[in-house]
Amino acid sequence: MQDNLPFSDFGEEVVRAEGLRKTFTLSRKQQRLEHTDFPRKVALDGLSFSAQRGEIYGLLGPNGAGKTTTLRILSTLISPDAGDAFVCGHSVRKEPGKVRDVIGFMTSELKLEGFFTPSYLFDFFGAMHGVEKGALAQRKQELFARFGIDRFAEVKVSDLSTGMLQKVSLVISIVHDPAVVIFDEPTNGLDVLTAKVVIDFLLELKAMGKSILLSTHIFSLVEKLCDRVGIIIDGKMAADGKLQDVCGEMSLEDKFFAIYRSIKGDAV
Amino acid sequence: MNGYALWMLTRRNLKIFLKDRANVFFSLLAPLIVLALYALFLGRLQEDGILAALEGMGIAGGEDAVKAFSDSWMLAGAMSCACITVPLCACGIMIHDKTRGISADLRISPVAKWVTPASYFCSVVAAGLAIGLIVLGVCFVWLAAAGMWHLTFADAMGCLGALVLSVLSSSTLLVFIVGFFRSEGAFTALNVILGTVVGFLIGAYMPITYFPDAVQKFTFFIPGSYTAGLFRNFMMRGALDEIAQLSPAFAEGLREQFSLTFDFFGLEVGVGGMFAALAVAGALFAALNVLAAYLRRRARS
Repeated sequence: MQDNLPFSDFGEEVVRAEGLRKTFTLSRKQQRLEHTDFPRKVALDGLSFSAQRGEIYGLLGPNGAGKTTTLRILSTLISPDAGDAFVCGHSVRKEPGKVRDVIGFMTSELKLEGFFTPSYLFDFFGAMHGVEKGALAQRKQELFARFGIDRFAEVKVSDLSTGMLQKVSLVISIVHDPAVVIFDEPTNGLDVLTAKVVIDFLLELKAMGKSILLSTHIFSLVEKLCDRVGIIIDGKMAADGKLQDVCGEMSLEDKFFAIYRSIKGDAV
Repeated sequence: MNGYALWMLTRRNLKIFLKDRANVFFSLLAPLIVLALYALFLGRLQEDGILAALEGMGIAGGEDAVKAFSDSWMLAGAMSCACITVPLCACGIMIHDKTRGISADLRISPVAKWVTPASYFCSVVAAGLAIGLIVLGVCFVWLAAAGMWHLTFADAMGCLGALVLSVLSSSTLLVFIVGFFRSEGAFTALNVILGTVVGFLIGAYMPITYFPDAVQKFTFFIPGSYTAGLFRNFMMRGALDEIAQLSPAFAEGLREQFSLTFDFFGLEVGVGGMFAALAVAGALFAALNVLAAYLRRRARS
């Protein structure tokens, strides 16, 4: 395993966002849903933060705060209107290809076709990421053994249990041994058993030396997994730092609502 | 790396299409309907009409040539439908990936941005060619088994050429259109509508000359009409030559009635013109696809 190499070029800071700004044009339907007459929505308003090597960093915020937009910018799926972000020292604006080389992007959604096998899908996504055949075979063997997929490698995806399916999906997203793993709402919509599979997987990734950036609105998940947290409200970073520094003596939930009230008034 | 990724993606798209047996069946529904209608009544209607016209001119015989002519016309129609409906159904993978978020997964892999759209096009073409070849084989076997094989080697090669160019042309057009669709429902609706009307628009159910003048003119702007024209020329030419031995004037009338040549606003369009029309349509929609992909990428960011 390559374990976050090469990091010497840019120090311990694996992700750095600098003044990210993003606005979206709202359709008439979206304006109705958002209860607004404004045709544009500011999703990110000068967002800055950084995540360190080997840590799990959690972006916490309510729905619509800008968490997913941030992750989509970091994954090069969309470009910021202003500002820039750097992943392993590569600019998402100027070097999107290099950024894609070093990240794995995951969601809790399963997107695997039922008639393919985990082995085929691993090979397919490996090819998409340009992993050399020999290295791919070795990595498949290692990862499948580590996560207990080896016995199901040639079983059709449609015949796998939900938990195993989730494992396959997660393992496939790190097929290219990315230094940074970006995970949008990791346990959203999952039952407790499958959610545990995901949480254990993230801890395992951390143990493997990976740097993880996740978004969530679940306090307990941040408390359980994250070393550092960034609280996003209305596209701005309201608090950022190590969990104990952000919360102090308060629970994360109490601290979040205290910050939320200070920004939005009593409209909780 | 991009070449290998393109190959893997194209294979994956093709596998997804071919594994869905129902989808493959429905992609051939329009050609099957042409065959069914022909077997039920269209064939007899066609033959009786032509034979009656010959008798009216005092010409006896020619039953075999007329049957070969009618069968070839039906098979040319079925073949033309397949060149449109198979690529259309194969385009379903684009919607499948879009609605399930797989497109985003592919976009964050480090392959070049043109690879995924190109793989859709390649798989649509590959599906169209593979199934089109099978259908063409069935058509040839049909003609040979029924003793109605009047094709020369050049005609058979012409059929192959028409298949390749037609699939390429219709694929560029369909990938362009389907690129604007975002839901399975909308795509299914397109599939049903196009599957229903395509047989009429390209004159597979009945010759286009039976339609009002305005409709005939409209069909000149549909690339599928030229596909049908090419297949008719190559598949029916031999049978038409036999009829011409009975009456050259009658055969000439049939050539016009069954749209073996087009009168494009006073300009006679023959085989060369039809190939050119398909090539121009293919090039035009290929350019539009490139433009649409660029605009989509810009809108996304």
